[in-house]
Amino acid sequence: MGPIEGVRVVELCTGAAGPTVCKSLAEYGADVLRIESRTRPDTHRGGPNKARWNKSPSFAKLHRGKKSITLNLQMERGKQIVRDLVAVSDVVVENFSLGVVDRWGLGYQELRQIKPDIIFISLKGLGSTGPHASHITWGPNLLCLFGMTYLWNDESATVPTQEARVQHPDFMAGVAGAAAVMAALLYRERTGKGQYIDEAQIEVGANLFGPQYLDYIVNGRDPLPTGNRRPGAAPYGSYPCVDGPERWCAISVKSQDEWERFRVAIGDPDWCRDRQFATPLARERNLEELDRRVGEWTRQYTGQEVMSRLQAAGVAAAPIQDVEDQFLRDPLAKERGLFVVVDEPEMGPVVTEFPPVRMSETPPVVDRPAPLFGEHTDQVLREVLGLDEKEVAELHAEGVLD
Amino acid sequence: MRFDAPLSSTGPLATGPLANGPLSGFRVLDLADETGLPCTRFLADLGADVIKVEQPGGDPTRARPPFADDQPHPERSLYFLHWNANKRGITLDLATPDGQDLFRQLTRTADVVVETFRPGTLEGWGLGYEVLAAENPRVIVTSITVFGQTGPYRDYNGDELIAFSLGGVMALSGEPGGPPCLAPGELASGMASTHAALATQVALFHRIKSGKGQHIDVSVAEAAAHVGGYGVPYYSYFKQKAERVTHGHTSFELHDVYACKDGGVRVYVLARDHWRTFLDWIGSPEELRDPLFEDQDMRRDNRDLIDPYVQEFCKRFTKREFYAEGQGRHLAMTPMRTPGEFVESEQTTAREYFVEMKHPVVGKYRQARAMHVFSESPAEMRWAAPLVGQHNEEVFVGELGLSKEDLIRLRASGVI
Repeated sequence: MGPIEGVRVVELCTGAAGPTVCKSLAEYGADVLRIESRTRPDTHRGGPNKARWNKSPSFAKLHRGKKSITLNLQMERGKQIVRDLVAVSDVVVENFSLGVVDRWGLGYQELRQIKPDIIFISLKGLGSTGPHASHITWGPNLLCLFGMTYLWNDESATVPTQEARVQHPDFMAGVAGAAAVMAALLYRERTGKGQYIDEAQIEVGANLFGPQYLDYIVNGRDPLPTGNRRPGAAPYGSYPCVDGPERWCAISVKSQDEWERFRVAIGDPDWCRDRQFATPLARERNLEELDRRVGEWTRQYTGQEVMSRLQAAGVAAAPIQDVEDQFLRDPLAKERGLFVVVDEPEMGPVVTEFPPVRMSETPPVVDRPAPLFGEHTDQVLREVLGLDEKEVAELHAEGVLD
Repeated sequence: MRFDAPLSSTGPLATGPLANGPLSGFRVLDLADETGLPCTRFLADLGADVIKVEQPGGDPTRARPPFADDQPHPERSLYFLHWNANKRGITLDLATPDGQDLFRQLTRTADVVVETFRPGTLEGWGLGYEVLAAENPRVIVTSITVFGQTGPYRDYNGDELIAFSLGGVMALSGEPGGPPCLAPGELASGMASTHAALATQVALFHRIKSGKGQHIDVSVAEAAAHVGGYGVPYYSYFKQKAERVTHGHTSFELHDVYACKDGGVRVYVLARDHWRTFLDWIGSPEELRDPLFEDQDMRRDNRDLIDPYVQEFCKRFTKREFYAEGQGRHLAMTPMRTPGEFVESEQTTAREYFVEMKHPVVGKYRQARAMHVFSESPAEMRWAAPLVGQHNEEVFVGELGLSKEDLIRLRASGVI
């Protein structure tokens, strides 16, 4: 019994952000009906290559705990089935290119005629309004557009960027979308009204850069990249470790008190007493030399050893973990259960991230695999829409359920 | 979406509730530092009555740069200004018996408490979850900490850098052989706060039927593992992990940044038809016409062949030209903008992403609105971040029923 059990969600989604809205709701007990197409399979489903279907790790991450229904939305009967499902649902989540669901006759204006209190959220890279609403963008395009790629760099950068190759802000946009849907559900509880929510994924990503934008707006200064430098912090950033050329740890010293504890924790070497490292300002001014000295110390240890030694003295430090470290060596992940293993029917055990949330009354649950392609088509048609076996067989024969 | 609340030079800023916001009617006590501010700002934007509880003299985040006109001052931190819009503000020393008593009284009026102290801190003040739940069984306490309320690192020191380093994305940043580079924008805290906002509302929804509050435990280090991509399921299935790749010599790695006339542009070619369109756009060089290159893996394996053409091509354009021409062909091509260029961009302006606000010290300025646009219950920007203790009288006298004399005594003894 999840806390939002009974909330039914129709998922008309591709890619990652929209599916993450639905996955996040499924983790709290929502009944998510994912509409898919056999003629135009989603990239994460495996694309046109049938051999890849049901064997995609990314699909497992994006779709655990949902039901899959295959429908041909080129056919009127297929669209009608979606309308019938919406009539008995609470939420519609869609993230196709601008205008697609409207062309199918499945936009908010149509669906609210069928279900007046439906909550309908559209996710688009740049939002559903404005001159660039139809632009084609992936997560990394958005990072470029709102200034993050530019800022993720060293001060004296000569290479284009230090940015990691990640799909941000897709996942954050998905969780934020789920949070917006919950707000709309709470509003509906109070007023009986549904509504339309317009999410621009770029605006979710940009939200975290508010202070930088204010620096531009209020002070007229366009912020520059700062690499691993943060005002008032030194040593701060990445330092080399003993166990390989790509092994690193992170250290964060942000006050004189922390510096004193750091100094003692590394054995109080003579160089720490040098005037050029005596005060926060002095350390920031002589950061290169400081980083070199600190690196000489960290280079004797693994990241875990640096963490243990410095944390014992109350100094913030951690290994910079790659995915293998997280899997095999991270005590936090192990003890708190960051990773969850679920048997996928055609893949065997696959690990995904458990939500970073524990709740005393209604914890999130991740215990069902991602659905096989069309696994729940017949079941949903019968149980939710009340069709009989003959009607379902006819729909199959007509190709409506492709 | 305009700020038009009356601004009086003598009295407090008008801070009436948003009557029709999605979360109107809920009260949140905000004890959050950097790790939780995006959560409480989210709740405030959507109409919740968020009361920021600061230590007497002002919250430490008021010392965070940048500052308006580069003048460090508690009312001029642009960091504080961004994250505390739409909230009310009071001061309260939770280390004092009177402060603790007043906080317990406030908890009786609240639906949610968001806090980011090291585990055990609130308990030490007699304000742990058990105590607050005894005061108000319906209260939801959302704790956002770097390592969580349990586990081996519970008592360790940490911040954004430490959480992000544990999460897997940091290891993929920077150049091979060089130090990994922390992402700007406090992503791990942002992700934790987003999950916290979701979970808090799930708990409010659950409470409608059950009548029960609960304790929510969110870890920033765990949230950091949710920022990236598919590394975890890929590793578990294929036993392969992503390696850092160089950005120094742009390589045709699907979504690189290439130099153009006046900066950088991102070239993102994934689908087969996008490659065909892109190839046509760059003039179909003889060497690249082989249909084998329609396969993404083949392009990656032959980056040395493809890359010089792309580099040469991008140099012919300005950022704006490349953006317009690329999107005109329905290709995922975008300019690498500075923050200022984003503020000034057409799309941002058309969507009124930055809204005019007024602040007694900073004056008129524009700041980013709520993330979502709601059709029925608009998340309007109502007022700028509170001044230190701006709503002390309103809350303590007007709502908790203290006398003005009590207020003076509490002020004199440093409780507020």
